[in-house]
Amino acid sequence: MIDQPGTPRDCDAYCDDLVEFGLGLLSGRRRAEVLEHLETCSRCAVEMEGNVIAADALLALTPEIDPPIGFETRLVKRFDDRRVSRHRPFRVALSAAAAVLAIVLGFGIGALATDHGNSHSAQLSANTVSAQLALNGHGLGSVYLASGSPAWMFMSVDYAHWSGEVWCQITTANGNQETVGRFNLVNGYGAWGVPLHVKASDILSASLVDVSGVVLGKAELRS
Amino acid sequence: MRRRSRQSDEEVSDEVLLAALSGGDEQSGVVFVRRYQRRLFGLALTIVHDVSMAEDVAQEAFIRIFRHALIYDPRRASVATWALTITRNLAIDAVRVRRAIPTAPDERIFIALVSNERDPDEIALTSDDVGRAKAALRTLPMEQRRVIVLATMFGRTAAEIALIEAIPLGTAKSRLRLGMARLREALMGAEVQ
Repeated sequence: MIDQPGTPRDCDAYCDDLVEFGLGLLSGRRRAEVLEHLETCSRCAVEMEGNVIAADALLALTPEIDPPIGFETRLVKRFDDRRVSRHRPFRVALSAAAAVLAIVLGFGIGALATDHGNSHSAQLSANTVSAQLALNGHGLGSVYLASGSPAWMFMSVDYAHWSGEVWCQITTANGNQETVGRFNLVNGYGAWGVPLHVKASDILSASLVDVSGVVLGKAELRS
Repeated sequence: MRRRSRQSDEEVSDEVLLAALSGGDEQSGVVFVRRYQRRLFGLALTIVHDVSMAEDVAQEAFIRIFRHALIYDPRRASVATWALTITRNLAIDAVRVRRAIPTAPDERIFIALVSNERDPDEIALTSDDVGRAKAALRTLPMEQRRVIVLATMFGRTAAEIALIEAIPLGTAKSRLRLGMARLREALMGAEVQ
């Protein structure tokens, strides 16, 4: 919560990064450090907000360029594709694994077993929602959120042939971002689950990020 | 669904189009895409510098706009600004994920944005928002103007700007900060007038 300005000395360490932060150009640890400072410094928060408003005003200067022929047709198809989900064997397997895990843990999302992960944003049961994990329209997995006490989150990923550690970050209704877990992808595949200390109804989205903070994919859980 | 005429489509405000979109009116979606596709694609291409990726970004932006039309808040920004902000954020994310080596900005677009010269048709054709933005930008010294345009319109980080401009990173960061402060003042001054 913003309650007071930082001391000028505190602010000096962050002032040169406020423009980049406001434009989403900072990543990784530095972004987290600036965010932490902004949460406690009203002076810098106001400056950053002013920067964003000024930067947005410049968007009026955007050059107008004709998109490639067929743009509208492909947009309509893409929009329709989002409504009709795709059937992919690996996703079925991973979704089934998440479903089994959920059932074993007693969260009653048996609907998953028959859904086969085909519905990316459907309400799977009264207590469970799922959403596609995607970046710019490219699906790379699924996120399941089961309400309860505690709430649980499951994530299954198929991300090209990428291997390495990834983090799961949630964004809550009050705008806070929090890393709730980390796991490894091997040749692009990975699945993971964790109990949460926040209520499922407070979670707006879940993101998959790499260790430097770059967002690989995001699932909107309240769309 | 009743089809609107071309003339009435042009008369419909952006806010009304968004309201109709949130109610599921497909024809409003078509009008909105035709009204904004050149701007959204233009911004995406300016940032990602790749036609295929720019189309991907612009299409994703339209889908986000359609999905979130209901939560658009006219008190915070115009529809154009809101739509372009969504596009800019998506383009910057796409660049960070997919492009390991930063590319130089499109020279023609860059020069047009930072130039002091006025297009002969500028006064007649530009909207109030465009004129206000151009006037504010021209109050900045050229070195600040260049870094502000590189960050806001091309999505370049301070480190990338330092490389493009051949200046130290600290200089790039301080020019960004000072330039943005000056730009804010100029825009506020324009509002008062």
